Amino acid sequence: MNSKSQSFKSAGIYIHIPFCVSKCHYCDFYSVPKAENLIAEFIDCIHSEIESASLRFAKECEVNTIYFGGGTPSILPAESLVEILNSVKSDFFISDSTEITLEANPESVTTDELKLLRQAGFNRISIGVQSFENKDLLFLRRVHDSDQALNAVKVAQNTGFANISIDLMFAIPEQSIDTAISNIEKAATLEVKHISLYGLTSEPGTPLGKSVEDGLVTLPDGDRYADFYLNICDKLRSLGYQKYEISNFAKPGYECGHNLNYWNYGTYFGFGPSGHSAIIDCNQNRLRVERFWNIRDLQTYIKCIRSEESTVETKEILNDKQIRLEKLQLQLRQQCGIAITEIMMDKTGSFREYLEILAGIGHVIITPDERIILTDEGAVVADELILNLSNLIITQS
Amino acid sequence: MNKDLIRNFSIIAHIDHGKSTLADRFLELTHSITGKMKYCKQMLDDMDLEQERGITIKAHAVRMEYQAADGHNYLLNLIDTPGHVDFSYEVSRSLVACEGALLVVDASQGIEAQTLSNLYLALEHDLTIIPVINKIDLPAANVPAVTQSICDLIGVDESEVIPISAKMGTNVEKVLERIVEIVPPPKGDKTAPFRAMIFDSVFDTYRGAVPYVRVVDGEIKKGDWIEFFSNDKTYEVDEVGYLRLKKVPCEKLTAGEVGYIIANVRNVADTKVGDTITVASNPADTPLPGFKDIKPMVFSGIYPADSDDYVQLRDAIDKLKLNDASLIYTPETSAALGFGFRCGFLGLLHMEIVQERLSREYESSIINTVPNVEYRITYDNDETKTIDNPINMPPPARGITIEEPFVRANVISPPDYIGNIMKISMERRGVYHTTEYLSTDRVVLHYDFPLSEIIFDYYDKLKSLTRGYASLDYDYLGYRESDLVRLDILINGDPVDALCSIVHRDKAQRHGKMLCSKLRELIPRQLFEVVIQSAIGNKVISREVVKPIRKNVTAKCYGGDITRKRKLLERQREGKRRMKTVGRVDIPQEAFLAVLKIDR
Ligand SMILES: Nc1nc2c(ncn2[C@@H]2O[C@H](COP(=O)(O)OP(=O)(O)O)[C@@H](O)[C@H]2O)c(=O)[nH]1
Ligand code: SF4
Repeated sequence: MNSKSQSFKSAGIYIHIPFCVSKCHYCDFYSVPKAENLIAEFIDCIHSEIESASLRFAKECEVNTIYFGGGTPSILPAESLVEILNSVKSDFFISDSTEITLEANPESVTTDELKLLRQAGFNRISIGVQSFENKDLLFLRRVHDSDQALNAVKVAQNTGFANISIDLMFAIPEQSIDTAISNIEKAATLEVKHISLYGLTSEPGTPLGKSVEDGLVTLPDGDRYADFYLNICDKLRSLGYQKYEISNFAKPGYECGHNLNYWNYGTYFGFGPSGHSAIIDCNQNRLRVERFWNIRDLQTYIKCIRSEESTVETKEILNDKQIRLEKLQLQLRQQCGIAITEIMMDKTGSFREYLEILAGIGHVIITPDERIILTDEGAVVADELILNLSNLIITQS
Repeated sequence: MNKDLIRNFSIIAHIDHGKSTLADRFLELTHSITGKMKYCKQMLDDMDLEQERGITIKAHAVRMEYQAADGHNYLLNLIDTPGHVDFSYEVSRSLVACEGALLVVDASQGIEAQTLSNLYLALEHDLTIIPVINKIDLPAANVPAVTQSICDLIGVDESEVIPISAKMGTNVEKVLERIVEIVPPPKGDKTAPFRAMIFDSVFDTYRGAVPYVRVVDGEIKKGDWIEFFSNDKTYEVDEVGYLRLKKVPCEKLTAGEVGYIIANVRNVADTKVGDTITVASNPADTPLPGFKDIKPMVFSGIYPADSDDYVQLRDAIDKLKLNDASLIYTPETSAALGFGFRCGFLGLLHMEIVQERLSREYESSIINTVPNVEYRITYDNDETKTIDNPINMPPPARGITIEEPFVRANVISPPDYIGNIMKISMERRGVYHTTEYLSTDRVVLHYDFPLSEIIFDYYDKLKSLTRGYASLDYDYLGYRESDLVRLDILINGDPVDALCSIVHRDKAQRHGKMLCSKLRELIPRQLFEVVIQSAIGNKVISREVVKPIRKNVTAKCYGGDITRKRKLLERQREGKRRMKTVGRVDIPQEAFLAVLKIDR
């Protein structure tokens, strides 16, 4: 093996399109209202950012996944999206099997545009359906209604997208478990291949967060949340969707390669404001993890690109302890779980004892090949489990 | 110095009745302060904490020169008294150092409990009392009524009560004249072997423990060797002097004078308040009367919130001890809280002050366990032992007698609240004695209490039930037998040492129940069910369950922003580190104080 091929690694590319038609009630992603002049400037800047990144990194990477996220990428004219994709394609090594995803919202999906995008190479689409129930959509302050949601999935199918994912939400106030289940059934009937299922969460600083704080809105309590989740997991499994991460379910072979790369310590580059990057190297079994991310403000981002300054807000190189913490977090959320040897050297002692107790109350399964896997019940308390386990692994070392 | 021209006096007053303001006026009138010093308020309380809390916890003294109307130049020594019940022994020593005392009463408030007990102390030591009514400028002043109650109390004529306004300066000079006129000059023999009584001591980083003394006989100067009666230690005198807001060196101190002695004494424990100092080369035969080695009455565990900080906490306590001879501490280990200290305090206020100073000094949080008194246990075979930590109390058994300290308490209040006072006093196992009327609108109720019943929140309760009018004071009585039991708290079956307490058998049931339900509120839901029980010996008396957590998960993955999730986890880990773990159960710090917040 020569040294060149050793440092040649697969990577993902994420492009953040920071525009939305209007702000959803619960959202804390970075996005601004769309404005034509800003969009033009943004597209310009994204091209420069991709180009200059390619000069530094393209030589050593093969790009396996490309993901256009947001925001609402489908807000941009299809031509612009294609242009951006083309500049990635021309600046980086891409293969035929590269997964190229577009995040789209139901209200901004048209047959003409999707056709164009499909032809240009987009082969996966992730539609922000959230619910097929108008009452839920209203509560979430989504722009689309349930007909538009159904329609969007059909348009995608008709324009040649075989790999369709939708986002669904559960534990919305006043949503019944039946509604959540029927959302899944509709998705299955539509034959979508991948479903991301998110419990509604109140984030500080969002309008929803404020309403919850002020007592105007009450989110379902923990017990109810768990009921939702457990029922949903059962239903999805019965319909042939495999859980591969706490919030992600797919028909076999349709897992999202882009996200798996995040979670499995792959290298990735995030372009656009608030884009996150990670460069991971492995040298003689030692990981070197460098993370950096762009400023979370479109105007500043544009200004930096124009004046040829760095758009990076912060950069960090992880120490061993941080790497172990992240691995625990990322892997335990996945259905493949984590190998006990990954997080501890000594397989006996209090860590082992604790695992047995967790297995005893049905939160985890310890597989014969010594991996820890969360059960559905365990998944609902994943953060608590991770916290407790992390205390043990860190205090042990 | 001519003894006949010396007057030593102190001021007896309730908090906020104007002691410091009056002292400031004296300092101005006698030109003891000049320039900008004049403007710093409350000259006598020179420690931050005291100023903040408006209490004087350490006695200090100040020397003033006063030219009286009779044309003579007098030397006035004002000796300050600590203002709280915990320090009554120190108060008595400060009073003994004087021949006279001003009784200062707020014209709008009347006499309070603490004033009364300090007044009794002064009378017991034959001090000349000069009654003063302060704040006569206030619209709410009721000079005739307060005058009357003072006259009734100490049997003086109305004309002897001086109405003043310390704030405006009205009649303040009259008070000085009266001091000169009726307070007797100090007795004592200038030629006798040297004897001086310590009424306070402070620690100076460079010069060691510095006793403040009242010289009774003989004289002392630099180069003499002094000897302490209580421990026979000798030290060479480096400097003597008097106090005028700061130390002023002088050639010698003679009988009747008040001042300090610097002799490089290492340890404040060697300069005990009340002890007698003599001169080694010509020692006095007998010490001055009244020395008591005071013992702590209230005990509590002090632990670092973060177990890693034990060493810093120890350093902070060591440092505090330098200035506080009455603080006692020994290292102790708790299964729940790790390494810490068992500390002994003179009383509750003393405990609070220490805790507050400590958390300032140590700059990070500490966990204080619930305070308790010292119990005495006698076995059948007459073997006795004392217990200052509830965990050491043996389980209920025949042939064991348990005793606890009792105090005699005076509660002063307007008569309207007698009912309320009697009610809570009964709940606290108070034994009622008598009620006396001080005036038509003030009564004093005399009670005996187990000290343990009033160290918690009795005073706060009393205040709120009497709309702030009642005041409380107590004196130590001695040990009496009580039917006490140890109440254990078990978490998932494991007893938690730091939550153990000693309660009266009649109250155990209720107390155990309330404690369990309080803990259920404070202990967060965890992955496992948490069972909280209270028990006496093997008998469980109450049980509560914290149900396991059902949901704690981040639904959304923030794309490539892995850092955000890791940071969140790091923060949560930090929070968890601040909890204490018993078995596998995380217990927040507040839980250890829950016992305090229980309505007894
Ligand atoms: N109106 C009035 N207020 C006074 C008088 N003497 C003291 N005060 C005020 O009463 C409060 C308490 O006085 P202070 O001397 O600090 O009381 P201490 O706690 O006894 O030392 C302060 O706000 C003083 O300004 C007075 O003669 N008249
Ligand atoms: S469309 Fe998506 S990114 Fe835009 S506001 Fe709604 S949730 Fe946020």
